[in-house]
Amino acid sequence: MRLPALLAACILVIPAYTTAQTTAADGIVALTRGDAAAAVRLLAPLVEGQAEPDPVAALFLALAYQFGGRGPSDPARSCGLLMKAATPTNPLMRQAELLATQLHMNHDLMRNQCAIAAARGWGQPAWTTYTLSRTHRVRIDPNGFLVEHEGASKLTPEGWGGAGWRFLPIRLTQVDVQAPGEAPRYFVEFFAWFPHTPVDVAEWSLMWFVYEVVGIDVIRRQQGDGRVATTVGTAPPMTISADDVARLVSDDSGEVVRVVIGTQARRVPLPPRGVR
Amino acid sequence: MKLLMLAIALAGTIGLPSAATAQSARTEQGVAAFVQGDYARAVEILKPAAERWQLPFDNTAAFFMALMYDNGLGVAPDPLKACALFLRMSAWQENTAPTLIFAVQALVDDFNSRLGPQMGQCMLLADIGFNRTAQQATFTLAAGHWISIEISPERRAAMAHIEYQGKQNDLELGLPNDADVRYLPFTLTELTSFRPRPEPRHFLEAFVFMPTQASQWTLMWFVFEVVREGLVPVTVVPDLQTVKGDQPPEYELTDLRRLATIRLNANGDAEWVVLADAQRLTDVIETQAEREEIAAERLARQAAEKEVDSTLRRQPGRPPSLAYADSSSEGCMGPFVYGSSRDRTEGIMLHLGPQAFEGASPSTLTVGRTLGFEVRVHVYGAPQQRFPFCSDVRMLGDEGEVWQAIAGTATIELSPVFRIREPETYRATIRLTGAEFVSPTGARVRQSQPITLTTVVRGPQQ
Repeated sequence: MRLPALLAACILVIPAYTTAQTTAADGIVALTRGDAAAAVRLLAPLVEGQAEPDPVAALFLALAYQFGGRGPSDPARSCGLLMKAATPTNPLMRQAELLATQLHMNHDLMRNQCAIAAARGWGQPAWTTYTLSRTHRVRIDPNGFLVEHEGASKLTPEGWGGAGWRFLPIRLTQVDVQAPGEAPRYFVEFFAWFPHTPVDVAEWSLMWFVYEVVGIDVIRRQQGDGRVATTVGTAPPMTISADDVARLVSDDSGEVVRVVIGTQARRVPLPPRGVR
Repeated sequence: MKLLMLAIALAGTIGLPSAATAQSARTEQGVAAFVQGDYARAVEILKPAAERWQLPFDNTAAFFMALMYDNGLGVAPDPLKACALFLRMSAWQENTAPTLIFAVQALVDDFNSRLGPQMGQCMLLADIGFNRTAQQATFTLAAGHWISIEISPERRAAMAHIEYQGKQNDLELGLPNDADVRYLPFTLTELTSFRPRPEPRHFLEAFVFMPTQASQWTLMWFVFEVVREGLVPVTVVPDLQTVKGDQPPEYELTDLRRLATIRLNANGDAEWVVLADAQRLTDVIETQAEREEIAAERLARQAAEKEVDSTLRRQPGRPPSLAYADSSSEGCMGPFVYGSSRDRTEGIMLHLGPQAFEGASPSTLTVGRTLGFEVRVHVYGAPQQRFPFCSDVRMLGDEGEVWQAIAGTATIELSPVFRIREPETYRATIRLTGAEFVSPTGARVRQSQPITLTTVVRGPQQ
């Protein structure tokens, strides 16, 4: 490389490094001010999705999540970040290990979840907003469902996500019922693959979660553990069509039924609209 | 301690938002240095704030300083200090960002299991801070007579150990032991006071800087006299000087002597004096003989009072017995002397008058002939806890039935008593003979046996 080109590379690289450090410092300072949301906003890009995340930033991001910096806290999420932060390059490796242990408490199931979160990250759906009518809207974000209905609004808190989960796009399903003049029913469906272990080639299960939007309320229409398919691999098949696996249909009597297709086929009627 | 610190914090935080904001910004610079791996700079910025044991604690600085102590980043590894800082944060969560509390609790729990028996040291450090300087001093007063003082981080109290002619005594000095107090070196001053006789005396002084507000220190002065194997508190001056600054000044003895000293006054008596104060606070220091004499008189009085049967009831109009216990004798601030019967239902009061203190001792005073000389007997129906002779205030029943002397002669022997604050003080022995008393109803009674009273009196000009 010729000298001018080398200098240009240095000029490009050094500010980028400084900016990353500054952002980490800003995020950690935000955390020390008690502003967990700002800490998450500043630290998450330095950690999540990074091949070599900043381990100090990862530790403090874990604290921000644990405090609820992005919706309800999930110990496995923080624990995974702490496990990831417990690297020899981290001057705070000891503390990262200790805090991770404090969260999983050496419980097998929880430790496995931490390890999956550390290895595969924390999966969350792509947040979205649906307009059901001119006066009826649902926003889905880390805090839950925010429904606006005829001038009123209501947040139904709900946390989605898990260690290593891979979400298919959120789906809004309108089911027209048979009775004449009756309004259609609206369902929000989540499909997510979750790994059972942190190993490279893992068993994955596809989960199906169904919620119904009734006016300003959101009602969980879940029965059983929601498992609808399984696979084995380094990653789950993300291109499948959810319709090929599970769908909501209206039966002859006008009731809504959960239909699972394939090896785990089953039909489960959902409660009527008025039943909470 | 928590309440004291809270009070200091409330006093210290009023009107100081800009200082707090400036500190907060500086702490954030320290955090940034830490994140960037510049631990030397982080320590430089964070250490003073973290290790300032005054409310409001900078627990953000403490958190990162604790991490640096625990991991040996920019400082020598010191798990005890790390533990103490985390423990302080845990105890004072109102000064800790809520986002850090989970980590703080978890790390304190970890230290609890890691340190084992050393956890007590951590707790002590969390309580008293890191900056309480250890002090140790030993002074030899004479052969076989020495005093050693020690304040160590391991002990909450300042202790003195005295040895005197084979006897040993361990004493707590009662000096402040709050977090962050700074002890200046102890001082022993030897003086030879001249009254009532030349006598070497030894005074131990402690100068202590107390943090009283943010960046403010108050210098306290404690003076004790070493007496054999004991220590007698002489005085405490709580506010010798107030100075501003993050750290108190490092005074030498010459600096302190411009503020306060122990010295001899013009009479050759020991005195302490505050030189820094415009009013020049000062007082003479009584001798040990004086202290012991006063204490013995008080004890004798208390013992006599204990023997009194308070349920006793006697005929108030009876003639006086004119029998008085010499140990009951007392003097008032002026030339008054009084005594009482053993059951304290009868008292005799003599006002000596100025002539008792004039001319050679002994002097003779005669009732009715000597100006100002007066003798009265008070007869009561019940024992008197206190006689009213030293007070001008009279309560109903205080007087009893008063028998006034109309004849009698008193011989008074005076010998000077050294009272450092009361120059005209004497031990008086008064013998009353040939006295005759008359009651308000005209009844008379004559003295049949000598009456002798011995006590300390003050001259009429006192």
